[in-house]
Amino acid sequence: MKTVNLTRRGFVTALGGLVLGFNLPGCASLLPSIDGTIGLGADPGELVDINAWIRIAPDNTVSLRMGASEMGQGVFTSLPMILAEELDVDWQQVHAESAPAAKVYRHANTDYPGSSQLTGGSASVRGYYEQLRRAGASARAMLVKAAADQWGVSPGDCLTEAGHVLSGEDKLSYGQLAQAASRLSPIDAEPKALSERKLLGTSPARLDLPPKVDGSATFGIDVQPEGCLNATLVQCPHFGGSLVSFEDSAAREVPGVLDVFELDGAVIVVADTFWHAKKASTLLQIEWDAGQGAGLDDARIGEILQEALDRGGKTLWKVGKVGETDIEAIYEVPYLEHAPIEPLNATAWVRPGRVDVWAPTQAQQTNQMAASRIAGVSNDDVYIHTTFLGGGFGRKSFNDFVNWAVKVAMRFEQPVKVTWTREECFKRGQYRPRSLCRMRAKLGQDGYPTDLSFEMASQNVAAEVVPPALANLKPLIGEVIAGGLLHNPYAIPNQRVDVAVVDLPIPVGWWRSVQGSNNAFYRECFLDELANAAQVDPIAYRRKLLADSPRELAVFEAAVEAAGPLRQRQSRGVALFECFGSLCAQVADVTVIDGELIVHRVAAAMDCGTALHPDGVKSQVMGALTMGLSSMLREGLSLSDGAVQQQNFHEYELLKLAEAPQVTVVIVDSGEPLGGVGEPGLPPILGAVCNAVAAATGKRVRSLPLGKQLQA
Amino acid sequence: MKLNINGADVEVEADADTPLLWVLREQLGMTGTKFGCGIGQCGACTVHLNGQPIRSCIMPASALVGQTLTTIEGLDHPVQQAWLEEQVPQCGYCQSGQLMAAASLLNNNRKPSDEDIGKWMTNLCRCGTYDRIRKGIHAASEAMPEPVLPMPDLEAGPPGGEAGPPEGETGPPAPADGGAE
Ligand code: FES
Ligand code: FES
Repeated sequence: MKTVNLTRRGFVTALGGLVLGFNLPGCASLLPSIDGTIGLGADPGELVDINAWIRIAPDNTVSLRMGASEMGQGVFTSLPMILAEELDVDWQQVHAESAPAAKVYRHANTDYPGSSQLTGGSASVRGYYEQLRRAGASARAMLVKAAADQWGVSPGDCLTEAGHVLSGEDKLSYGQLAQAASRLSPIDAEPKALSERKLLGTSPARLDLPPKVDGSATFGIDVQPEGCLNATLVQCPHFGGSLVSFEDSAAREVPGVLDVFELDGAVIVVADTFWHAKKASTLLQIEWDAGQGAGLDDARIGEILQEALDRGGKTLWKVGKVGETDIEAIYEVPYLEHAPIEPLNATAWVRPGRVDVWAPTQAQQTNQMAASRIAGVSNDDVYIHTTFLGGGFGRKSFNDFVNWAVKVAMRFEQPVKVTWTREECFKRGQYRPRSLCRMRAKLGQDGYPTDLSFEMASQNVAAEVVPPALANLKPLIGEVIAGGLLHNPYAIPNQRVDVAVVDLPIPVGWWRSVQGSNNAFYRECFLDELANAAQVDPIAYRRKLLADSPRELAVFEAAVEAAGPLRQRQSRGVALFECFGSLCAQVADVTVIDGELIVHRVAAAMDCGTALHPDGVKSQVMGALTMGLSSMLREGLSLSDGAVQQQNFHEYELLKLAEAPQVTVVIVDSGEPLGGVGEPGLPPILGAVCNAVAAATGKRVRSLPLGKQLQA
Repeated sequence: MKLNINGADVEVEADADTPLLWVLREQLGMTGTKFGCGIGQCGACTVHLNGQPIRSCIMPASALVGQTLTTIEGLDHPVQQAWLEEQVPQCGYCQSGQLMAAASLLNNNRKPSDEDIGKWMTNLCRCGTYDRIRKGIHAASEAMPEPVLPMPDLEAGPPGGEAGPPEGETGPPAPADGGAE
């Protein structure tokens, strides 16, 4: 087993800020080959590096390294497509694998300066696009030059096609040219013009699906290096609380249990198998002190939010001056758990001067930094092996589950996998925050709003990952808390957005679509309330308010058209929301019978600029809106003494297939800059369904989840 | 104890209460069957017992001696091809269980309606692939050969043609394991 840390291999920044690799002949054997680092497709054998991203085998297999994590969103297809397009290779030749944590694999951030190796913010395609196009074009130029040199012709006399360089009668495969190309200096070449594209914009089969239908795909939880121990942990259930004492004699009796100990306020059980560790963990008797969490329950949190709302927050944005208003409503959403079906887990092996981590992670860069601090080794001595993620949704961008593995593994010579029980995942999440939003409006003579204000009270989802000095800056809060309320596309002359940031010991974080997961509910439902007050059909109401927002109007019209005529006895709701650079509109058709909601159909229109893999975009919009629907039906966490009360899926019910609507997704190709794809499909469903419910029943739902609210 | 898995007899040593899931994953290294909740709720651990879906996380392996078990590693069924055609999976973590559940549905009911599918398929998918799962099942149903007449004797196996929720789904959820506390 050998692995390599690429920062040591001399990959350099070259070509006007582009990061391309130096060639290291014969280094193929240095690639991570430990079980768990994902590689797809046939084993390509001996590979030659053309640059940091692209390696080519003599059999002409092209292996592409992906800096982003595959967590279901399809980046192990969309990102290779960008490279394959520039390289001119057959899709059948392409092999994709995960890159190690290294600077060269960071992507350009989409909303702020700098770069990072973090899969989140619907940023992978947008963030890597230019880099990968240029890396692909450069590699192609190097292969062409290698062929031209061999033939004694000019590169301009050569063509490339399906993994071959051609000139007149001559033809060589990339596999035959790879060695020679790898010895050339990097070439700065122009990527293809849009009109020359063959692959981007089509929907080749996803590379990662074959192993996902035969059980062979390796997720983090499947990693089991030779001699690996298995551990689980029991952390304090009370946020702001602490461990007092524990009794472990029964736990230690469980066969296979090797050790039970306290570590940083948690109790760790280490065993031969996870089953034994889990079983032992349930036999622990632990006394906790609720600490700061004492008395912190749903009612108290509600009061704290309400007080913050009443005190008023910072004005983040305004246009005109909001005057007297006559329509007012307060909306509310609960804490949500991400609940990826793969529980949190990570495997670490800590040896002198070296740490290996295998993890289903969204955040290689910060994992590496944190692990190096914990283990006292340099950043370059931490090797992150990224597996497939069994869902992430933001939860696996936090370091905690990787840090625990490193901390526990430091006590053992062998590798240790730390797997969380589902109960532990619910108990120590990084939840979508509970929040309140008061909206006020005044309608003009014509029934359209002249004044609109939003006042929100919420914890700050960025607080844990952004330095305190930055966490409360207006632009950041404007994005991660109030995004979508600022600069809303509806033409309303006087608007204001105020946010009161609330401090609570409950950990919060990015939950798929972040701000969109509440603000689409707030804004789009209240807009329907205004339309109802004006006695104007909500579709016509939005059309008029969007008259000066052509891009929004186009996506809205596309969704309405895709929905087609409304069926008898069904009711319709619509909503529109923009986030992560993309616009999505949705139309939901529902019935409510005896208080039971059925969402029959959802039509969605998505404008992400240009869809590089249209079927992948459709799949993401379908998945995101289905997850959004799940969240609004029955999901919500309650707290008592600062402890989450829901322990597992029987108390936190996700949507099942029987309730999942038929989904139609249409893509609006606006040609605008690339937008994100994984998240923007989620928010509109919240507004669309609640608006349809109001149309069906006359009942305006102002707090989620719906739960039993529709039962008289 | 001796278990019959994917057509082969295998000898395993496990405490009497070890769920089949962990015998598969940790003793036999068959990691295609997944852990999601441990209380019979999510279906990620679905395997076939005598052709019928069960939730292996709440089924002690010791109770299964002498019975026929099939896991995703041993599944060879038109649903898998249909899943690729419809590009069903996203993260893929729930999909072993979804495929096992879907295959058993189609084995019991060659032409399921959307309602039949909804009743049978109770596995959770956080990525929200349900609409494509439904399409995948219909596509597999189309692709499957018509059953040879007379109908095969289903006595020993699945209830003939009748869809029903998989075991472990009826009644209240099994008690949680104490919340790991
Ligand atoms: S692991 Fe969830 S049902 Fe078995
Ligand atoms: S595909 Fe991710 S949970 Fe179903």
